[in-house]
Amino acid sequence: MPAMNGSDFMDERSEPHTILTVKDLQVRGENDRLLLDVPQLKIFHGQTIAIKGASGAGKSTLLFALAGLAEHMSGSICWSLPQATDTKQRSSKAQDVIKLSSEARARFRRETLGMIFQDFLLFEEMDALANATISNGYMPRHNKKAVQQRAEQTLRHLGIKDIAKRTIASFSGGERQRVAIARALANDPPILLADEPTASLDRKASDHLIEDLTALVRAQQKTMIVVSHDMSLCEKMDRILEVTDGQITERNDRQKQGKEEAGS
Amino acid sequence: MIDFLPLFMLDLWDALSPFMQDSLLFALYLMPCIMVGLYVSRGSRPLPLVRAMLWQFRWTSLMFVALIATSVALGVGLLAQERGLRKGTAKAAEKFDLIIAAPGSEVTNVLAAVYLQPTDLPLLDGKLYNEIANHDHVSFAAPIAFGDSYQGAPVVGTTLDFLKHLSGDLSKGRAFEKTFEAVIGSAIDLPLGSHFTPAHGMGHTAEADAHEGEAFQIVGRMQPTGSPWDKAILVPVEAVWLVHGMGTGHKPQEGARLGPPFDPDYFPGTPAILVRAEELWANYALKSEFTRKESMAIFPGAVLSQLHTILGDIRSVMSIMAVITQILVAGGVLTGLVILTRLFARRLALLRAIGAPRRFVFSIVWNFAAILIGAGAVSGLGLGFVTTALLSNIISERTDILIKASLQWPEFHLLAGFVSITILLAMIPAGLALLQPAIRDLRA
Repeated sequence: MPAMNGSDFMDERSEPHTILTVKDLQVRGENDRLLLDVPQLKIFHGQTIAIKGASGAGKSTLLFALAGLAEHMSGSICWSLPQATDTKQRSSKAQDVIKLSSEARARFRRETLGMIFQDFLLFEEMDALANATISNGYMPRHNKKAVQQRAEQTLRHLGIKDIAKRTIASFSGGERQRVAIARALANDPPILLADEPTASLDRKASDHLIEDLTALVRAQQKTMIVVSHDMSLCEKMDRILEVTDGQITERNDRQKQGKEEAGS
Repeated sequence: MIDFLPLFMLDLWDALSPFMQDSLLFALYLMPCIMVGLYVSRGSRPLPLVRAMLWQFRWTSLMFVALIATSVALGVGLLAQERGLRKGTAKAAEKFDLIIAAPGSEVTNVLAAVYLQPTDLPLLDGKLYNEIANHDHVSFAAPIAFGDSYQGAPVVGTTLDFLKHLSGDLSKGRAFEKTFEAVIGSAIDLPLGSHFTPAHGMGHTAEADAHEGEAFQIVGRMQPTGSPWDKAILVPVEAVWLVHGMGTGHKPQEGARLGPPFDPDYFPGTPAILVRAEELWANYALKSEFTRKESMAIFPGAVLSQLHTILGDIRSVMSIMAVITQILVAGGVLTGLVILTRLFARRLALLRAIGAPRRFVFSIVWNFAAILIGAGAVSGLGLGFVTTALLSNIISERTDILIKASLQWPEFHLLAGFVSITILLAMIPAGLALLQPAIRDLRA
């Protein structure tokens, strides 16, 4: 997949490209209990968004729903990604993940999303580089070299390159999360979804990771949606969404700031 | 097994060599799992992840492998052991075309005359012996007189003809030429030139000093025969009769002459006579002729065949039990695999979350199972062979019948069938791993 720059998504009037449009999304759990209700949500390309809220409020459910992983969803989650890199002839293909089949959702995730989890979910017996390039197990052969190079580059950028051949079992929490970030970025996805990426780290490691992650995302002009309780992380994001009992409210000051940055 | 094929294919099949037929059957048995493996793993590289999972759950994986290996070893060992016993006993009896003994149990007579198992048998007289020995179709008839022993080795009185028939050329020394000379079996640990005095009887009841003063000199050693005769000591039958105070079978004026003809008036009797016919067909005529009121002619091969049939029936029953065991073990292993996949469910959920195709996730679980089953089956083959070899040695030690352990096509076919079926069944845990929603495992 080619690298996508933020400029590719700006139309001639310099309005930010809407990369995600959520409409009337409802996610239900056992006994038809409503877990999440999002009448409308728009996210622009290149924005970084924090989702915060109390435990059990529905933050992770929202994140998993956006990735097409949640069950019992209704409404629409339309991801709109440009297909051509030529800015003059740009067209975008909208995909409603709710309407996609299970296999099509998987394809969408591997081509479009990078995912980071609270407890890293790495293969302990494999080295850092093997973990970061895990998608080479199922990616088309012609992509493998690019994935390998990108993973090595990201690991180097995150300070892991020298220990990339060590097994994960010997890594600290911060190092593990860096490897997980490298794995998420190895396919060069335009969108990064992170579920509590600093929750398993101490303050110092969290701060370092936040610095590195935000710098990397901004440098590569990715769209990032992060679920987090960590205020240090949330404050670094363009927008903050708050989830309370499955309902989303937005901190307007952050949204405004985000729009200004996206439009500049 | 291949009866369903059209006639022309059956002809084609029959035209193949046995090796080709067995190889094709082996490949045919393995084909389903190879096809599934190729389809499942096509275009992906699941093995690095499978290797990592195997290493992480190495002790559990080893337990599975051991379990599968044990069940395969049971089936393989049973087949190999039964064949080894069958071949060993048949080889031990191959020099004994026809035995004539007093009426009684055929099995007992064969066990005594062929396998030298200690038994008290009634004696045949000299008149009958001469009738047999002088028969037109008889090449030679050798009395086999047993009952004495030395250090547990049976001392058997017989003739030079029988010695030559049994051993051919000797491996060391020469055949007995005098009454108190002896030729030892290949497994007897006594030097040539040494002397011994036989005990009367065998085993615990043997009387060591019953023949005191009667010393035999060992003058030769036989070639190995793979039969209990390797642990026997052959002496002239005249010597056996002499040490029992029964004369020599010859007139006194004939002196110390050895071998036939014997004088019926001086013939002390023999429990069994080995008969070698001039022609193969004559054996049947001789059997018929000498199966009468005072004698019984036995084909040891036919008796063995009956025993083998019983052995085969036992093998069949045990094979069914082994197959049931294998089915139970396969079921247990697959159930265990379902449980084991729950242990790495989060990793599988991660793969699905990051967009791995369902077939890739399926292939990880399937390859994991296939490697355990394959490793277990190959280990089982080795374990089965080693167990069979050990058991064969023990049986050979105890019976002196040379039982050789070997792996042959039936074992490989059994293995291929087991592997194929269980690996196909391994699709069940692999499929079940996909049924669980990824989000539940990610949040677990």
